Formats: sequence, structure tokens, C-alpha cells
Amino acid sequence: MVRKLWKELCECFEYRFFTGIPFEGSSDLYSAMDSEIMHYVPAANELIALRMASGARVSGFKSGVLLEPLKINRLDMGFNIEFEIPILIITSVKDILLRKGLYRDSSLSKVVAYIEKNKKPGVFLLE
Amino acid sequence: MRRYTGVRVLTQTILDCDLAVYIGKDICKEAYQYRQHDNNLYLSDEEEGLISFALGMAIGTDKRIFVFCEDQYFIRNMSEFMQAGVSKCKNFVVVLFVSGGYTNVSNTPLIFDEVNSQHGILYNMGFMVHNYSNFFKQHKNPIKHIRKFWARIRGPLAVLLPVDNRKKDMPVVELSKNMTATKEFIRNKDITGYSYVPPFSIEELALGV
Repeated sequence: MVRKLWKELCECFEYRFFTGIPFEGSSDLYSAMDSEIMHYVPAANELIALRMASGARVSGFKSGVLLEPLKINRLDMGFNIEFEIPILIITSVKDILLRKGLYRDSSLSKVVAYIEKNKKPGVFLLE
Repeated sequence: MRRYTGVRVLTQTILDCDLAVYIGKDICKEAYQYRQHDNNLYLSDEEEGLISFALGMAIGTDKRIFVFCEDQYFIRNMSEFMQAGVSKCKNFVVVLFVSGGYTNVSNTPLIFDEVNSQHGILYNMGFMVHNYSNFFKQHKNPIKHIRKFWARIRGPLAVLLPVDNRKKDMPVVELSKNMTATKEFIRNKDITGYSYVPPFSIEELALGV
């Protein structure tokens, strides 16, 4: 199931660069990663992960960040919005209390379509 | 050495195929005065995570990324420098102007000056370190010399340049509000980058090679 998700994300939507911080409930995601189709860089903290993914996006590679739901609220997304850098944020749906104004959906295609169209960060809720 | 002299010399050594990221209003003003180019990105140091942003760009391109910032930014964002150091990203260079004070707030002292070994910290983080403390006294044409050995460098490289706190009035520069020129520059395959294989070959993954 999770392996299929990575395949869809990397091969259909062409997201190749990922970074982030492991969180509770993300172990399946990490164990299903495939270095043949994606590249993952472990980050020191959430802000570094977000900015690194933003930089890779500016270089022309679609990128995603794996973050804990509550940590997303503390992140400053203003930089991405100001400079129109779309980023896919992947998080677990558990205990989700995401702040208002941040697009989220449990359908991957909807989130990807939103962030590519509006050039803003969007959250994919992993069920 | 005054900081604006350091900015003038080092920005002139950057090639047209390199990308320069200037962090901090004062550094941006000085750099804008001496080198105006599409491949310059001016960012305010009020923002955090800019070293990681530059690192992300370096990961995705074969062009060299030069970041110019002050020691106060280093102190505030050390974890970012650690991330850059361990990345082993060969096209990433950070130039650190070491003034030992907050130049924007009446030169109030900064703890970085009290550190036993400034280059030791950066070296242990994974950077190769160049210390230019005496370089400018020994060379009459520093631009020529620096350009010569920067042509062969492998990153991640940290350049330490001790500067004093004297300022020069520079015209105000408009900090970047959009990144279109930078995006176009960095994605332009016609501008040949540095002659080495990027550490992470995302491009190969994208092409399915």
C-alpha cells in the first residue's frame, strides 16, 4: 500500500526529492522508500527540511517533506508563499489539528494539483 | 579589512555560471554596489533557514552556490551549517564575514569571537575551511589568486574572512521579492556549471537512467 504510494508519487507525479523528520506513524513510509526512484535526505529539524526541499524545487525538482502534524503549525510558510515555491508536505492524519489556511486533503492527486496550480505548500494526509 | 572590501573582492571572483546568495541587508547593499547580475539572490537575514535553502538549490544543480553571510547568522543557525557540512555537497561554498559583533546594532559583541577555534568548529561539521586572515596582506592581486584556486575547489567549503565593523553608506537595495530570475538561471542547462558530478544525481532518477 505504502510502496504503491511512493511509486505513484515518484513516477506519476514526478516527485523525486524528499526530506523530513521521522514521526510516530511514519515507520511504514520510511521502510517502503526505494532509492531507485527517489532521493531522501534526513534533516536536522523541520525548518531545515522545509527550506531544503524549497531549494531543490527552485532548482527544478519537485520535492516533498515528511513532517509531524503538530510541527507543521509552528513552521513559517511565508517564505514559500512569498516566493511561490510549491512544496508537498506529507503527514499522518492522527491527532491532526492543522492551522487554518493550509490546504490539506487525503487524496494525493488533489493535493498535487492544488500545489502545482497555486504554487503554495499543501498537506497530504496519510490515512 | 573592511567588510565591503571583502565583499567587493570575493564577489568579483565568482564566475558567471555560479549563483551567489547574499544574506543580510548590509551585505546585500554592498554586493549590489559591486556586482549586479541575474545570478545574484538578495535575502534578508530576518528570515531563517536560508543556508538550508541554498543547500537545497546546490543539491539540485551542478552550478556552484556561494552563500555570503555574517558570523551572527552562523551563531543563530548553527544546525543549518551542520546540515550543510555533513551533506558533502561539492558545489556548496559559504563565505563567513567574521566581525565579532552585531554590525547592525551598534557593534555589540558576539560570542563567536570568544570561540577557541572558529575554523575547528566548521571543520568538525564537515566543511573544508579556508581562512583568509592574512591572505589579503600577502597578495597584491587577490582576485586573480582566489579565482585561480576557487576554480579547483571541492565543497562543502567554508571561507572565514575576518573583517572590521566600519561601514560605508551604500544605496538601498530592493531585496528579492520574486525568484523568477534565479529559477530561470539555475534551471538553464545552456549555462554550463562546474565540471563535476553532483553528489545526488536526482536528474538521473528523474530521467530513469
